[in-house]
Amino acid sequence: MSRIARLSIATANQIAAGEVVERPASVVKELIENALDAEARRITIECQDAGKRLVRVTDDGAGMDRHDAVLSLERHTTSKLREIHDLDSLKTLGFRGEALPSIAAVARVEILSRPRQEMEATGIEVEPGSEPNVRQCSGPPGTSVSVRDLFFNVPARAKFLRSAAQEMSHIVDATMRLALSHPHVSFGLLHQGKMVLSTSGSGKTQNALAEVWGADRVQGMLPIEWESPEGVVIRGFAGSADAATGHRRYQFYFVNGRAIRSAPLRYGVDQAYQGILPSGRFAPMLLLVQLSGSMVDINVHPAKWEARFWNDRAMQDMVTEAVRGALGEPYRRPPSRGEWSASSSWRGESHPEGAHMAQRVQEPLFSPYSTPWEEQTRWEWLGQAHQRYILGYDGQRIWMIDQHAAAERICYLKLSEAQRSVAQMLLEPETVELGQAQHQMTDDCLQILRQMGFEVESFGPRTLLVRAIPAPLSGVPVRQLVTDAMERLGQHKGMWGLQEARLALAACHGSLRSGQRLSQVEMHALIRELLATDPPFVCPHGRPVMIEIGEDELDKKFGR
Amino acid sequence: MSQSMTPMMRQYVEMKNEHPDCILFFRLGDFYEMFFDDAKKAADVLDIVLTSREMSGGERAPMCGVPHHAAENYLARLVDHGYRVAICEQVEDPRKTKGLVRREVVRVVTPGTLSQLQTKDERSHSFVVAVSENQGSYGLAAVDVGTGTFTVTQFDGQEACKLFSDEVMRLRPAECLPNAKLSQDPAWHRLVDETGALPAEDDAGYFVPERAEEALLRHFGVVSLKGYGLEGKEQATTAAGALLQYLQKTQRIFLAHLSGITYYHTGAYMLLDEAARRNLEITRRQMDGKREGSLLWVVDHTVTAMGARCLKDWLERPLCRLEEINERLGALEELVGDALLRLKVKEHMSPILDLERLASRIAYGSANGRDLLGLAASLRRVGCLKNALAESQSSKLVSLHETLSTPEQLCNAIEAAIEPQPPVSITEGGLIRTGYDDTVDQLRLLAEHGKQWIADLERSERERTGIKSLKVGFNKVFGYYIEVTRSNLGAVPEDYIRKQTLANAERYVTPRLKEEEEKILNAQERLWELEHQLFLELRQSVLEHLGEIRRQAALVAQLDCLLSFAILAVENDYCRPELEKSKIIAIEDGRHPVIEKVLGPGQYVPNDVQLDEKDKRMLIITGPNMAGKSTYCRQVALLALLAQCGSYVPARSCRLGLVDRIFTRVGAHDNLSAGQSTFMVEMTEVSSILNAATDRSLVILDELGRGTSTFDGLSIAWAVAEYLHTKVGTRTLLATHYREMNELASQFHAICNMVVAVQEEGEDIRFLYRIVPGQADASYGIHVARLAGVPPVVLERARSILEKLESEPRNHNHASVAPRSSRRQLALSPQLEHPALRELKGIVIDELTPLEALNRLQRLQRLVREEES
Repeated sequence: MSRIARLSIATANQIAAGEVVERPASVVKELIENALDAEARRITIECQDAGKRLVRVTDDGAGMDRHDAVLSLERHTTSKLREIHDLDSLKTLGFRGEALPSIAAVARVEILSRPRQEMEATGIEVEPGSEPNVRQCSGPPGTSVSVRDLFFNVPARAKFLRSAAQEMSHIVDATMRLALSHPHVSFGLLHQGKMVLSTSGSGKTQNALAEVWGADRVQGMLPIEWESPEGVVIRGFAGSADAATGHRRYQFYFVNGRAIRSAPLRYGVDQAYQGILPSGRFAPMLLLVQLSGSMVDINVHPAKWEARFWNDRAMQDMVTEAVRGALGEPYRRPPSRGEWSASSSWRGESHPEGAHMAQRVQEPLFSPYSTPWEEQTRWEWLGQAHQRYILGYDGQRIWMIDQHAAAERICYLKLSEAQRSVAQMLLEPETVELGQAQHQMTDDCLQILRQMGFEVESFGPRTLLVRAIPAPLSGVPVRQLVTDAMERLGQHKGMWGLQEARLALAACHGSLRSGQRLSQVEMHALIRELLATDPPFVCPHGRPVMIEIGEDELDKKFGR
Repeated sequence: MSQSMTPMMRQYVEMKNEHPDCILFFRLGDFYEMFFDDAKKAADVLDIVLTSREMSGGERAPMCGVPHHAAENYLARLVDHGYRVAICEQVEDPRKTKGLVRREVVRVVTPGTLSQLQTKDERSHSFVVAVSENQGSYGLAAVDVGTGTFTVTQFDGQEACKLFSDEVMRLRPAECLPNAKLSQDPAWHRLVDETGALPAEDDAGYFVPERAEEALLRHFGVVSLKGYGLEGKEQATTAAGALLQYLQKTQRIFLAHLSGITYYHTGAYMLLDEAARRNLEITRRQMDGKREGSLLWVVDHTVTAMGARCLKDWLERPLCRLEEINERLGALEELVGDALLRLKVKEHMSPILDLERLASRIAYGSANGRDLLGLAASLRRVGCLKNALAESQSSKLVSLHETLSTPEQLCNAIEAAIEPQPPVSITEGGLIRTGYDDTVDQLRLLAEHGKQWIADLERSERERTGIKSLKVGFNKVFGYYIEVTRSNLGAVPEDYIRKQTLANAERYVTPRLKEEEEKILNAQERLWELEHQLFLELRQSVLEHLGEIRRQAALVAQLDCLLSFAILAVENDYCRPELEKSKIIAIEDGRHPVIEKVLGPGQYVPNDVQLDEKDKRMLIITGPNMAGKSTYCRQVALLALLAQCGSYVPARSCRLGLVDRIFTRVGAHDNLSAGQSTFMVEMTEVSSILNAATDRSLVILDELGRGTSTFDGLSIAWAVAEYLHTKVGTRTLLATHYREMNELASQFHAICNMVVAVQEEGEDIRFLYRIVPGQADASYGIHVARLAGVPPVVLERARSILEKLESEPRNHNHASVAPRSSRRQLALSPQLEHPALRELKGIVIDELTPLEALNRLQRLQRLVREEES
């Protein structure tokens, strides 16, 4: 008895849709890629209800005539390739012939398209399972595809969608990626009628970066320009340490113009930032890799997120080298005249589009160290310079330590260690007069102060009575301490208040300021404490604590 | 009025007699009170309770009042109803005076001057205007007391009256002060009615020319007005001086924020008359006067209030000089092409407050600590803007970079004196920074020491009494106290006075403790007074910087407008227009900026426009209504306007020869109240166009001749078209339902026919919204009626009447209309050669026999007859 039957086209489409259309963001990605392939210069994406109710992508590209428009909804039809070997020489983004029919299988789709030279446009309305309704109508040149009520006929799918905010953030992500990899195309993303993202399509990547990630994040970024003998080209922009965040949301990777998620690329970047950033912190990164089609396989997954390289390890190392090259290695690069370890400035020849960029000279960053810290006894302390820096020599390299940053770090850690810091009673309770702002203190603020180890209570309209302060901060004038803490708390509410207050106090009162002379004993003590923290590279604000200069560098300085 | 009045009532009557035409707000304690008739009027308008107050002799006077701190709203309402309000304040401290407190009227609030207190819309100006006329010369001066804007202009020559009226309409003043001649002119009163302004009266000879000039010289502290461009402009000077005097009388302060006066000449800009501004919906929608749906609404992406006002001004007065326009466009190109620059400028500009309004608050003495700090912070931002422009290339941005600057001294002075995040009030201390003034510091220390002494009391009392757990504390109700737990009550010394009992403790005070507390409170009071004093001094010192502040404000406003244009261009896919001295208009894929925004992306169908001097000066556009004719015409005008404002335009490409004036004659608009029918209004507008248009103008005529019978209308329209084409030579877009006008194209070679593309499908028609060369072959009126839902029986009848009318031979000559055929894509009608002519041409006479010739003749005659039926 026969049990196997052919699936109807509609069902087959739905199944395939499952792979291509995960969520509204997938729809957005597919439609944008189609628009790009149509050589659009302006793409507008409108979303209602985070794409659940409507996703509409409008472009000013080539448009489709009636015949093409109707065929586009059929599976395995495409304008992008004819035979499988075309894959190798593929220059377009969409090619599987699955996007539109897959989408049309799980939503209500409308297409309005007109090639420029035609007088009339073609309008198609189609629902899953029924014949498309085709008619002639008026319309501007280009194409507009509206996808309504996504997953209305597969409720199970619809239930899996996350909250509006999350879905929207996926859509924004997908749009950002495509906007960054196509800087000559102008993008506009609207949600509920409001402009969420807008790029000018001026052609310069750094413009698109600034428009997408904001001026602040982009201002410190350094250009990446690297090429291998095998013809692998790596370009992009590497962010500075102070723009680092705890997530990878601002790290975008592209291979041959296609947005990709790839472990080798990620690890390559992480490797490059080792020693500059603690683990778990990621600097903004735009990485654009170009390589021959034979060295990478992109047809791995229908949603085309992943790629397979000819050799993962080799790719990873190439990335590391490229990014390191941008960040600047003290001992790999000859120092430019008069500056220690400064890498190429923003306006360098290595970067072709330097014309409008702001001047930026990179601050020296240091490389991963290899000397084990336990061997500190081999260290020779040379002295203190500018009453700010402690100099040491470990037999191989000269080290310079910012005493204030070091003290900050130590203090911060101490403050964070205890759940509730140990309090030190004052000999006499002290009154602290508060300014107008802090005078609006709430009980929450006082609570946080108490958590930190202060004992405080209200003592008059604008006055506090302080009986005890946190032990690590003893020796600091009480008034100043409390006022500073209150100020910081005023700026940051809630949970962060505690964190920020600690930061502030550590920063300003970590007992050592620049401009303080230290005896040798004091220096030793400081360093010992510093080395006990782990790793001793950055102060709580992300600034470096230590810098090293190797023998080679010294030699080069002296022209050897 | 009763003989024996209380001294206070007498004072009231005195004040009231000085201001008979105003409602008097009489300050009594925390209220502003009104009496007698004023009270009755106010109670009615403000919807507050009307009570009464006893006067001597048992009589009661009607009375009502509003609280002082909420007075602004009530003031606004009264002013809205057309009342003037005189505000009479107590000028002495009631706590310090014995007997009657002295009172004075400190301000007269009028519709035009309300903006100092309250604004409905900070993005627009609210003007008081003074106008003066003498021997055909008109002077017009305008002041916005809220922002300190003071402008003046003069109109002379032939068109003076019309231009003057247009400009008054543009300003939309809230209050008008005319000179004697104008106040007797009924035309002026009609104009005022239209603007809705409140007329003011010159009761003190403000317009006497010498007095007016004197007032100006004195106010600005100069010996000649030449520096302001007022030399030789008598009417302008008179109007300006009159306005200044009027304001001085009502505002009663030194109007420090009127730091300069700007003379402008309307001829330096593209001229748009009131009809054009209205029809093109530049700053407000025609339907309901709202901002939403106007060009300004689409274009406005400014981030400061000053920028918003400046942008409105730029849109109402597009430029006319190539260099100036290209300067703006150059700056725009740089802002569009460099995202980092654009974002940085926006970042620094957004937090800048309304400097102009702040300046006026300072002049009026109503600025507090926050205002001053806000001023300093905003001025510092100006320096950041300057730095952001450091690497600009375009001339306009370079010039802004050079002229923007932070008045360092002023900012330093303010920041040194005022405590960060000061309170709203200026009389309750917490205002002045420590270290600014010794006495303030001392008084503060005194209060502080007092508190520290009290805190120290804890240790000393513990020692004295031996109670280890003794505490000192503070409570809002009882003040400072010493707290002792129940178990220690025995050890409490005698000089402790019990104040408060708690569950587990008792709280006490001692005389010494109370003494210290008293000292603290005294010090506090003196401290507050001193801080108030110092603040007033500081605020006063800012007055001399107002001129500089306003200058910087104007520069920031300009940069904001450029930024706004840049954001507009980026977000909406606009292109840079190329302006030239020729008379070309070549637009590719042009879009109507407002309609495309309202429709949403991917809906608006773009169209090309081609006009030039030699072959295409006039376009005659035919086709059914609602198919895009009017939109097309308006689109061309709006793009020309935007381009000459120095903005990018919604098109793929745009070349524009400078336009000196835009005229529009659109729609049916009657003015029955002024005694004008639709047609009359139309003819009035047309006549002004015919008289004023030049060969550099752009004229939009939509449905000319609609308001009268067909033949009259067609004749007039035809004649107007001919005149504009030949005598004036202006660029014209003429949309019409008279298909006969297509004939003009074959008579004049610079006139071309355009038509709206329509697709027929049986009974239905589909608008394609494309305007292409050609003629309409039918009116489609019945089709449109069908779309509108007119009942089928009416449509049927209409159709049969139409057939009859079309088949009747017409007396006058008009272009042969090509027969309709169903299913034709374009409404093109190629001029086919008549078959009879063709045949005639083909005859070889020599070869014809007489019989053949007769036969041929018969054939030809038949052909001609057939074609005609």
